[in-house]
Amino acid sequence: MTDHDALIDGLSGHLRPVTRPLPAGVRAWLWLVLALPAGWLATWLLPRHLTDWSRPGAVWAVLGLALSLAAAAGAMRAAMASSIAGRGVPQGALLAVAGLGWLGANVMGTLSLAQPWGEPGSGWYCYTFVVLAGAPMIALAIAAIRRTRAVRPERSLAYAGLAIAFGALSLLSFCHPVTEHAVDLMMHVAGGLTVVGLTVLLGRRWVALA
Amino acid sequence: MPQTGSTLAPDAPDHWPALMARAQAGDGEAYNRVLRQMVPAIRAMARRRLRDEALVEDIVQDVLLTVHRVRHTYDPARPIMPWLSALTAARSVDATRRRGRHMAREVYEEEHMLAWADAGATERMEGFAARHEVERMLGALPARQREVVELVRLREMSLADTAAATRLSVPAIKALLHRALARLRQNGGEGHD
Repeated sequence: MTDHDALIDGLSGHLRPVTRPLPAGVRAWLWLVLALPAGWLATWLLPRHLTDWSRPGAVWAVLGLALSLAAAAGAMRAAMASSIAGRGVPQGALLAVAGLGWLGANVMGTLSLAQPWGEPGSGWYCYTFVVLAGAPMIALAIAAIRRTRAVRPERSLAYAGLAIAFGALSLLSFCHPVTEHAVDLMMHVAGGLTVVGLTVLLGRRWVALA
Repeated sequence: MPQTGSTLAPDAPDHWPALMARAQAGDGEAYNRVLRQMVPAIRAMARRRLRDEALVEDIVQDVLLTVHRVRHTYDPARPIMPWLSALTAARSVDATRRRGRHMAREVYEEEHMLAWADAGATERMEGFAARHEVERMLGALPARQREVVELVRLREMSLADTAAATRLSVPAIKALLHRALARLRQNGGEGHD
């Protein structure tokens, strides 16, 4: 296979040292440290009213916030790990528990309201907030995954999108009533799904292993 | 000076992580050795997915280029075969999809052509056919080979400029071009039998 030999000689002829990426967990934490403030800054474009944590039902909001941050960190770690060839998704079960726990905490908060359904058509502010906060996080996530490229870009970007959605939802809980109506909660979920879709759509070209 | 394949143990995957670690530090000789030793393993993995020998060799070359591109992502503390196997699988799937798309695009409907025949269309059709033929043949090449042929032969860029544009070395460009032209000749020959 002479032509393979020629290619190998070419590739190894002027080899430069390379730097290995940091462990997936460290990269995920670094992303969180950069992405959350960036997302918060992006929402300056919207009017914000800080959460009154003394209201009834705040315990569910605090639990939801903690779980959304855990899910964001776990999902980004999965995104970073799965982008590297031959690596599985670490602690996928814990990630699922955190995500479902977040949903459960929010549903419990909703059920504690006297009128849990809320007004149809409400929740657009929350939707806009999640998408707006997610915008800079998407750019940072794509840049982070591009460092290693991804063997299966859709899968890695979907995990990254999930991390961004949970990150944006954790920011939203700082300027939102401690409990939300069902319609409002559905708009939160819709905002998260939009962010996941945008991340996959915008990032595929940039992180695919060309 | 790189060693030749004949002086190396052909199946020494236990040594590959150490060689890759040296390659990541910039040791070209270690890199040359490990890539040569990987070729039979990559070929065997590709053959498990595809029967087309020419395509298998293209995949081997594509995997070597991919290994080069993402060599920093390999962690020498981990086994190397899952990493290499995942890269080979990804490249095999890409090649299969590319071939499938290429074959799906080839449509020939004789009845419609006769029913809507245009007496003055011969010249235009010949021009179109020539362009289509070039596109068809280039479309059958792996992405890297196609890119190199387009840059060197169609845009008439120099090897050095092509190397700079693609971030590969000049010998790598030559090897890609050689393989691409060989494959084009093979496809062209098949098409005119």
